[in-house]
Amino acid sequence: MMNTDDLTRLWTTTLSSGMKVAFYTVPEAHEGCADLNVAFGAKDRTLETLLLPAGTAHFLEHKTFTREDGSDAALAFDALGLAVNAQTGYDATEYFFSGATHLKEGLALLLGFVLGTPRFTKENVDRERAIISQEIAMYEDDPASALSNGLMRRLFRHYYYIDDIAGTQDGIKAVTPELLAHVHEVAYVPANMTLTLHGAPEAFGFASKEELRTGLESLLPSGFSPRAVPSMVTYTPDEGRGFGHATRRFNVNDPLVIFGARMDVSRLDALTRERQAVLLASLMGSLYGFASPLAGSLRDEGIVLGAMSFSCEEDEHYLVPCLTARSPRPAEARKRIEQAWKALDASTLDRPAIAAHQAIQAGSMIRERDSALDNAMSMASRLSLGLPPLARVRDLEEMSEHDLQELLSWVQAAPTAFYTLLPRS
Amino acid sequence: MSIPLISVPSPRFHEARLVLHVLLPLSQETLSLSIVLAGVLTHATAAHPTLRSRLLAKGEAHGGTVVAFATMRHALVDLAFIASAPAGLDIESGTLAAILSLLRETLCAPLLVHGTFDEAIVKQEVAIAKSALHRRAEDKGSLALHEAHEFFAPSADPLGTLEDFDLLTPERLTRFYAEAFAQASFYAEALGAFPPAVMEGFLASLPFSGKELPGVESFYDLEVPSPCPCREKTVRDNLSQSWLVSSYRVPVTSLSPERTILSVALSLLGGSYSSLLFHRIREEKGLCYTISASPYGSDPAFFIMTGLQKKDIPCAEREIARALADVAQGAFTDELLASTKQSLDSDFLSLADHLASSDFFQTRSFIRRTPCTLESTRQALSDVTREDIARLMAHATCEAVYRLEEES
Repeated sequence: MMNTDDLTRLWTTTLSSGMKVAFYTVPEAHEGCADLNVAFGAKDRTLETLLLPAGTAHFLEHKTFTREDGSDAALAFDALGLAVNAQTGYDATEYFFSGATHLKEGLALLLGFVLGTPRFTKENVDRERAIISQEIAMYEDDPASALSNGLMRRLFRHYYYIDDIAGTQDGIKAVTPELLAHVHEVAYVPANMTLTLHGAPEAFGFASKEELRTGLESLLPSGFSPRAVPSMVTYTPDEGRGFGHATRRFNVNDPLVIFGARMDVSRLDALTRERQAVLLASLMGSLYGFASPLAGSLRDEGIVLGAMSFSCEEDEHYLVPCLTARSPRPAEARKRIEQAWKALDASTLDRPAIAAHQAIQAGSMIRERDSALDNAMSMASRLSLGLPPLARVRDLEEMSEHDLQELLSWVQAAPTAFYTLLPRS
Repeated sequence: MSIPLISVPSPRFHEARLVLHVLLPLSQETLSLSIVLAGVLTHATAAHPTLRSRLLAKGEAHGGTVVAFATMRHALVDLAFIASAPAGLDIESGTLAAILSLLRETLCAPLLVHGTFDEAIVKQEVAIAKSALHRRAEDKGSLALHEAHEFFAPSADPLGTLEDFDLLTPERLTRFYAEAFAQASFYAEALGAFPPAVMEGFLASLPFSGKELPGVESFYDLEVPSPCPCREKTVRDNLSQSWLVSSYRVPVTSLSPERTILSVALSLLGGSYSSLLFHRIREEKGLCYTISASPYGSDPAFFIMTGLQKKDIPCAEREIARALADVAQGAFTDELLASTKQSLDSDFLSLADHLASSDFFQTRSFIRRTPCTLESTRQALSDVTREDIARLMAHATCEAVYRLEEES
């Protein structure tokens, strides 16, 4: 099923500084994309002996492009006609650009600015604080953010998921120029980074895999050698608190209900975890997806309006499946959702539906490779976890009874919680 | 007449896609009915009467999908049916045949009960359509944008209206289905790895004879608007952040020859880090996180939108007026104009790498009956001058300001 040409399109290397690189070559493409993934994200709340305020990684993402003369590197990308952006996740911060011209120059800019020395001053940090404060205010009014954050605070007591990726208004007040400079110096090192490219090799200035390696070595600012990256996460198994459900009044038209489970998968390797995440999505689809009997009944009875949406947070310790429903009768929705979850066992699984959802997921993974940015980001994420840059779709699609039984054991052991937003009036 | 097929074969795409466009003259009711019809037709067919059986059919087709959307495009309602499958499949595998079979059922053999659509299914799709309206009302930026647009008496609400949904019955929808498919214009796109010959055969076998596309010339040859008083509205709510949306009428729609000039003008205003609004209001004054200038869909209008604190609204309004005046007077740097055009050129080139490029270029060609290619689009962009931008933006008149403010 998978296009076997894909592996011949892939060049991978590791630079002498420890930076991992993957290039998905598409010689006939106009568009190119580069993604520099720094393995430092919102989850990193300790650095060496330092406790970091909520939002530090996101604040640093906003300020990394400040040049030494105070201007912004984004303007330099604009001048080249390249679209540049950055985003912070729990696991990583990513800087990426795309475009059809000046890709070689864009790559040099990207590496130069992310690895160079930014200029943090009281003035420019204060101004950025005001901008980020508006970003946080925007999320504070967003029902999806309120639901997700409310649920995480039911499922976890101190794990990093309890704070929004952008941080909190109090957290960003504690961010100083000195803190940003220190974090940048320690965390923004090549050994802590993954670079992925998608596009025509010649457009980036590389005619071969060997040229990719030597070319990138010459582009990196000097002074970097491989070194151990300090441990940045303090992981404490989380017992959680106050499971059950909580409610909050919010600016919503109908009540919104979110359901989540905290599945501890710490002992799994990255590939097994990925397989379990794919299988979990299929299981949730078979149970709560638009075509499932339960979802049909809930809609027919007017308990749920429209489709219930599924998402999953995942890291090396937890899989957290989340299900959101718009419901005029939230108490009944919670009851039925929970009943279905608790009734899950080998005898109640809808295996044909699970297999169909897996096939649909596999199709999405294959199609993702047609999008330069999606593919570059997906490769970076996988490489940073120690996985091959391209998913072996067939492996993920195939489901064994053993996989299912293992997943069911996580499901049955997982603490669950609900969070509900109710209209103000 | 037969259904025209635009074929963009490329073996490098990982997706194969057939899109059948059913084009109808734009009216609000047509759009509202089409939104519900798209859901009903993809919900159940005579051969696959339940969602679950359709899900299993998609699974057997190796994750292929058949979906439908109704959107407002260039003075038309576009009811688009999209069949897609992962590439690496050939017709012998049966997957292609399975997906086309599902598409044919979706188009031609819906589930009917005593000659009409099933009441429960229609009711459910109406509820889903209403949910989309509720979601928009909960997203405060989208709400502010919609409210500002309402001042213009827009062509149609792209999400449909509660009034239309409340009046909708299974009988009305069934009649609409028959009438719409009898009166529509059709065209199709075969993209990626779908073999064109198979697609032509498939289209020839459909029981539709498309009509001539309705004339849309009036949609792109527009009079310069007469100035009218700007209407203002301020609403207060329990919010963390305020939204400011100002709306402008301009004699350019999505099909106008001057559309490229408007694209450059709006990008200069608020389309990049270097743009006047982003630079002055966000970077210099730190008033907002998001600010942008964009066209209002296909309508002859654009908007400027930002999220900020209530106390900063007057300052933002002054800066927006100053930036607009600067663009209308051609008072921007050569560097900004050059980088803006270069970014847009890069966007067009990049678009050519996507399956959506056919939709962008070919739909315009089909509707306007004149070729619209990557080359002609890039040439039009290259030809845009400072004087063109100033002349166009001098005709932009502010017609509405909507403020959604946090309560003190």
